[in-house]
Amino acid sequence: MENEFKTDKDYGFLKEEIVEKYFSDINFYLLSGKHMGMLESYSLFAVIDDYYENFRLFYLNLYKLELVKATFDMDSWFYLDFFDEGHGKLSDPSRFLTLTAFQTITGLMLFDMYYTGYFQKNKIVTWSDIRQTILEGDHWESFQKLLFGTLREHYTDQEWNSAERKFRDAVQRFEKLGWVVKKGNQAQELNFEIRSSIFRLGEIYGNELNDIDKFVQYMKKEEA
Amino acid sequence: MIFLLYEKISTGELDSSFSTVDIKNALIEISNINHIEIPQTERIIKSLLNYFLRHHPDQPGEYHLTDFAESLVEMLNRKLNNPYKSLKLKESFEKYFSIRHNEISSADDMETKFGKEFIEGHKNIIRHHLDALDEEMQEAYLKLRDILHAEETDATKMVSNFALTFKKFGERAEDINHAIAQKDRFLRDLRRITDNFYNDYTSFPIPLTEQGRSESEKLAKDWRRCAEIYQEIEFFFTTIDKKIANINRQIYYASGKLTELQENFSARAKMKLAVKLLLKLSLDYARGSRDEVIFDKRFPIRGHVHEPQRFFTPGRHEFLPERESNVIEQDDDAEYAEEVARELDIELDRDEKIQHWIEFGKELITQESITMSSFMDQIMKSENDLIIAYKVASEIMEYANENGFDITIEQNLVKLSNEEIYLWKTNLKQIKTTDF
Repeated sequence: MENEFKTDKDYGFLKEEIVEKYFSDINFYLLSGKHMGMLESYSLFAVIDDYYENFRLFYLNLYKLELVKATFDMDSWFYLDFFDEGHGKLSDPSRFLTLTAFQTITGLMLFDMYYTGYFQKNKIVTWSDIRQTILEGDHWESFQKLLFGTLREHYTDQEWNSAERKFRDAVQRFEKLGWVVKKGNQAQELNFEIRSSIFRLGEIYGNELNDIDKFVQYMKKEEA
Repeated sequence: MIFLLYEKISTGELDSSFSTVDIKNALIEISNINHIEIPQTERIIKSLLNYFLRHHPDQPGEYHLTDFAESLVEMLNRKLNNPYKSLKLKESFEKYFSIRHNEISSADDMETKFGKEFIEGHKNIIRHHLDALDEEMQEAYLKLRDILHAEETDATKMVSNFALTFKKFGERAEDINHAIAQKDRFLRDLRRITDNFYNDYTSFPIPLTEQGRSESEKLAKDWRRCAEIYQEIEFFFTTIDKKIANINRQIYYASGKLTELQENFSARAKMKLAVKLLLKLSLDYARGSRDEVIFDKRFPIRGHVHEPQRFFTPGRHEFLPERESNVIEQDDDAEYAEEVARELDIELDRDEKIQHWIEFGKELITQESITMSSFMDQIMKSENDLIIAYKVASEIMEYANENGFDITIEQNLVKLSNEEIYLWKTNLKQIKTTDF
């Protein structure tokens, strides 16, 4: 079916009933930066998958964005990406969003947690787990300094609440990106599942991760 | 301390009853092993008394361990060294849940073999068995995780150990499958026996005698007892099924992962380390203030596509056709407007003139006397407007009255010089004022 529309500028596939039905959702989520996984939104995923080439050209021609299909850890998802690091024609800041420093740190922490729970089917993380990481994790000192300013034996409830709020905000952003799926409601303890699409963070920092030693050296050199 | 005492008793080092000195020695031993201060013996005894320790009834000053303490130690012991780890689940199933030919011929047989009271122990064995399996899984998980943590060179070595763990997993999976088959067979047999009891009951001829009736009742009772037992066991196995399914799923998931891992083993382990390192770097180069965390400018910040479409809902509008107005609009009446304006002009003009004459009159009466009729005549001559003359006259009268002027009125009619105002002449006469 998908081969019926081959030419670059033919958007006839939009007339297909199934595409018509799901297009607005697909378009909305993709453009808002969401990673559309197979497990979370199967119908949408399936439509993009069936018409991948059409959708790819659609976003290429009309938005100058690349529709990427990524696979990691037995899961697949679609997302839109820029063609180069300079964002190409999309230098308008309203068309892309940077991750804040804290979001980046939280993301890397969750990515690390994903690997730690690699052999467990569902990577569920709760606030207690995060708290444990802050108190006893590999980087407890750095975490505590960053969150509480100083290293102390105990931290007040207020300090913990403020820390939790920061993580909650970051997780909320990741949920919009499709990197995590929240469990339970707002009033309950923070509780969510890390999806394999967190791997995207690994791609975003691909240059650094692929040659981490070089990056470490670069940072140290700059420091000196 | 309870553990140590239990061990000493079981090895024969201590009697089943022991003294305060024995307890003290045990405490010293513990503190030596753990390098901690020797706790106060009396306080320890006091806190353990009744639940874990009891005074010996016959020998004063001696203690013995309670049943509760012993069973607690045994329970922990079983948890730590679960004997079922080396046993096969299938064997346990075969041993406790199988029916030999002709083994059960009456409801009593069934009760003795599978009744609630008799079978509880067997159920527990199966449960412990599954717990042991679950634990094994957890241990294997930890081992799997270590591979990811390990450096590449170590990891390759570990793979061979790992293969062993997985072989065991494979065997476990096989064992579980056999056990399930065994369980199914057992339940089938049990069902058949229960059905037999039912058949016996239904095929019994309709009882005519007292003896026949009691026999029929007994058969019905037997069948109900068996059916109850069957249902209970079936329920038990349903819960077991769930546990087994869970373990099985985990085994399959883990083996899938292993296969996948073998393919890109080195890459993944390297990635894992790199992520850890990058996290460390990001933390090192971040500075936190109360509300915000920022990176040192060297640490790269990245973004993603974000071009959400916004849908604005328009406000509520009434789109009904406008209703026709029943009010008839009037055109401007220029003539009327002019007339009113003229009248207004005259009024204004008149007011101005009245004011002027009042001022003049007031001045006049303070300087010399005035005769109202001649004053009014004067006004009439000048303005030719009776209203002005009248208003001025009344104002002046009021003014003179209020300010204590001498007012004399003579009853003589005076005609104003203006003939046209004939009618008024009479009235004026009546208010003819005297000279001041």
